[in-house]
Amino acid sequence: MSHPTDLLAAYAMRELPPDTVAALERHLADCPDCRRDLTAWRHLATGVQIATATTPPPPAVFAVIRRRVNIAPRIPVYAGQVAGHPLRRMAALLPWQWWLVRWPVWVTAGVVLILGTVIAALSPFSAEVMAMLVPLITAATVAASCGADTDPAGELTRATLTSPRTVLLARLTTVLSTMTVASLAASLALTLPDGARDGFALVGAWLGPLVPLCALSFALSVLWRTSVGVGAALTLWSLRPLSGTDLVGDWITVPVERIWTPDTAVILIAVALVAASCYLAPLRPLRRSRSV
Amino acid sequence: MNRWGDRGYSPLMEEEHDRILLDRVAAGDERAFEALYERHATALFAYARTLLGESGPAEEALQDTFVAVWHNAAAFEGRSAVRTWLFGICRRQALKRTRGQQLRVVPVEDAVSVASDAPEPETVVLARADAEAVAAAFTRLPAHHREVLQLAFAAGLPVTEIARVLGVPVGTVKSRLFHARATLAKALPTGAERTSR
Repeated sequence: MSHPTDLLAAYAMRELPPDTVAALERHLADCPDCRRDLTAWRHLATGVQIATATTPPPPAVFAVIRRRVNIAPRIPVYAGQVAGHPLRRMAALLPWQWWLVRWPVWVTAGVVLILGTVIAALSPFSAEVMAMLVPLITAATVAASCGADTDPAGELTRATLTSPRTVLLARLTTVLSTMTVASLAASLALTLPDGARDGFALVGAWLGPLVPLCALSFALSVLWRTSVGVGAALTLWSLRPLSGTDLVGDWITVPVERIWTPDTAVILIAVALVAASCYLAPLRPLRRSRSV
Repeated sequence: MNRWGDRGYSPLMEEEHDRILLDRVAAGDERAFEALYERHATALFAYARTLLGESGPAEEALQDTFVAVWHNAAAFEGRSAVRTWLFGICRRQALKRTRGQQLRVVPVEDAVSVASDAPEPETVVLARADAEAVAAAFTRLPAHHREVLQLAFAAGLPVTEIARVLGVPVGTVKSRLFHARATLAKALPTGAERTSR
């Protein structure tokens, strides 16, 4: 092979076919002149790459191109899986609500419920005691845990992908379930030892007023303030012993008795009140927690 | 090292990818258009800067290039590689900006006249030169020499594709490469000059 001068540039550019490369490399092994020529090409290539190395064009260039060809700016869309099956999401959402309720709320509710159960156990009117205590404790717990001004994670949960209404409903469900299970356990504790008390009557006595009282305190605490929700429940609770007496008129006695012994209409009104509160809750301005 | 050397992709795979993107651009796919831009904008920007000498006009030439690509993607006939087609458009858009005047040519006469006294052959000078000196000499070359060297060694285009971009025969490209190398070698400081500094 004579000096393959014309192939060396192509070799440096890596565009020779393999068989030509093999022949050329055999020649290069024995030819210092061609090796030097190849080194010159390679030095040239490296120098050109250094001299022409540049940063990418500024991002504004493509923005101008987009505008000129009438392509609207692309809004990033989250393409990942936001959550799983609705049931799995619900299962994950509910237990976490337990931890979002401040621990003093749970402790206070637990202590008052235990004390109330002890008093009911000692009293001959255990059903009346439970009917007075359980709805009040539950309504106060609902107000303290769902109130807009007592939610430490309110701002954070509003920033998540889950709807604030869903979070609020999950919170209410968790609190109501916890309090109902605890109250059922208390009722069971009152019924089991001697069997003298009617368990169904006992549960019915507190379960009836619990629904409208909790709905009222929930609505007021969510749409107004926690203290208003607790205050409304406490006011109704204090009016209950007075209803039917000469101290208050029928205009108070009748509604209070309807709440304490609710019929289907009252239950439906309570459910509607909760639904309306859940719907309206995100529309009201976020109020900073007083404890902050 | 050409543009594929570090990524382990073959030129054929790259070209196939480019063709798919260009077909989608022809169908109005904005994402494909953006992907095509991301793949080639940096190399085309560097090429436009070499032709025009400054970043501002090079950015405008790059804009014109991709606006033309968006409107004419369907007209691509596949007679060259997509990358070659893009460089061809970029060249035309850059040359439009130099209408009525030559490509910016930096005088090298002084450097050449100094180097012409060097007793060593050009390959010896170039083989001994360090990369920084070669790069510095490259920037002092006439624009048509810089262009052919950049297309060959920075853009990584084969000689046949460079010929298509420049609209000249393959033999002319090879000849220009040799001339460019010789001119650059003459612009390099000789060994005596290096030691005297």
